[in-house]
Amino acid sequence: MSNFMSSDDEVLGEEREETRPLAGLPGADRTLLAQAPLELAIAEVRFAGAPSLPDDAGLQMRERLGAAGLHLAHLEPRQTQRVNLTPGVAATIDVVSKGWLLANPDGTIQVTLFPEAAVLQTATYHRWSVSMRPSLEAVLESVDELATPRVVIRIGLRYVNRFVDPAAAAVAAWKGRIDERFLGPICHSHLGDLVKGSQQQVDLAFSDNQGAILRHGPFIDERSARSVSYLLDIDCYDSTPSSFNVAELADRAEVLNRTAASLFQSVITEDYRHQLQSDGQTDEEATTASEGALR
Amino acid sequence: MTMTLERTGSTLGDYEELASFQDQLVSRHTPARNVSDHDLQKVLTQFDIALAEPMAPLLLFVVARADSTGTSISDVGRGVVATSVGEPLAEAMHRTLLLLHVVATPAPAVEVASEELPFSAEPPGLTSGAEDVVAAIKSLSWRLGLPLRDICNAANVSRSAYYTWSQPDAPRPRVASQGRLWALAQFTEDLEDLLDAPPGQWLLARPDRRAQLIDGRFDDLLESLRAQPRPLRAAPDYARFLSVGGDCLASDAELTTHHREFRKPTSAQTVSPSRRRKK
Repeated sequence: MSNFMSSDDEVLGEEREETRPLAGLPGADRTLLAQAPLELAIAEVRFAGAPSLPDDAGLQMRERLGAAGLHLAHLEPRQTQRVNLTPGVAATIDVVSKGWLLANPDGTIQVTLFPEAAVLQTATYHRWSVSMRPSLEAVLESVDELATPRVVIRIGLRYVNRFVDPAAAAVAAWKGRIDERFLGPICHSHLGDLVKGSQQQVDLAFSDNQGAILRHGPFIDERSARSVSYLLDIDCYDSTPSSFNVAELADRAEVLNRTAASLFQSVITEDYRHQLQSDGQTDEEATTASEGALR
Repeated sequence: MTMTLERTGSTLGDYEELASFQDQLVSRHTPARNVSDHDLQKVLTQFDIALAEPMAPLLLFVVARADSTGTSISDVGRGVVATSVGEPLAEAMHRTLLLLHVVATPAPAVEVASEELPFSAEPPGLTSGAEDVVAAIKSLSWRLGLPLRDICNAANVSRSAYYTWSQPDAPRPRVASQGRLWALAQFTEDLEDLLDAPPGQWLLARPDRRAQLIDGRFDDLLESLRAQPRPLRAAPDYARFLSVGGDCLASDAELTTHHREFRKPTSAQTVSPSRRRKK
């Protein structure tokens, strides 16, 4: 598995003003995580004012992405349906829009294109500058050519993290790893040991149009011999309306990346972060690696 | 937020409000689509359900139903349901959630081949008058827990007409041949408003109620229901949502103290210790 978001495409300690986390959140430590918990990363751009896609939009997009180095062999039609359920009347289904899904053979990288949205989803995230930004730019450039959308309505960047510890037999095992203010009742003196599961959502507003939704909590993990794992799902968004400009959109997505990284490090404890980093690269190595990647 | 899964009231306006609320939530999230790790998908669904994600009620149902009906549904998040949402699903949705509408998209490729997608099919939303009437009769049958025969009798609709309307390209039913159907529909709405339990249970609790229904004596049935004594409740419904706490008010405590201070002594208390010893 890959590492969590890292601002590796810049010189350590010098963050560009335009890509700092939103709302003055502290910048994140950029050391890559050796034991990375990231399961899924999703970037979505919603837009308006685009005419319907050409009939062969999926095929064209596949070729364009391939030329940009993103080889997605599978192509399937997709459509959005609206199901209307009204009391006393039979349900009706309307086809709202038609689009395409492109994916690599094992489905770990997917691009979904609709006349109103483009989505890049990856389960093999390594770092922002390698796994997301170039691919997102390629997707948006293709969208610009195929759909020529006028207005961007929303940019969303979501990271689903799953912290696993096969030895965690109880929820209390996550004390000291997750910030106790997020653990909440798990830290309670006499209720804490009784907590079996917890699903919490925190809505953050950075401005009128920018915010994040954090979902987190421990759960019984079937994949880890039913030990207690911890889910941290960070969904940052920027719904400031703007014109469709690929470079600007990529920069705004990068700000969301920085913001998500800061939130990630606010939720876990410093000790646990160091533990996740252990056996990993040092700051210097990470920076060197990222510089190499940029080349 | 899970209160949104409850029936919010009896009027259509409430349902519209609920649907609007769902729509607002839809736009707030960045959806995950076609998550190939099924364990992770389960966990995300678990969170969606607990946190009243817009599609959570549907997902909850669908997870239970996907295997048995063959309806393949997936993709956590807005978004997103299936290639075929059959009538059983829609009816169950109606029964369970009473949502006005949800947004749906196809299932993942691993479950549905692309040729199965209803891509070139006509949108099935168009209905003729006959289909409306047939759907209404079926719906009433389900809501009242009575067979179609009883519903046709209660609505004063001939069964042959019903089966004629059920045929493809059936002619639009004349108003006169629809009998009391819409009065029965209104009666069912009223019944659902007044009862806490499914109307079928109440109707079948006494044989004369079913007979009255078949005779079309809807007003008599509603009158008898309104005249029925209501069971006492421990607390108003809204109290369950507002708080959970003790069973005493501060004023109760003061009253108790007051009573304790000024309570008349009992006979046992008036007996002097010396007399007790004599006993």
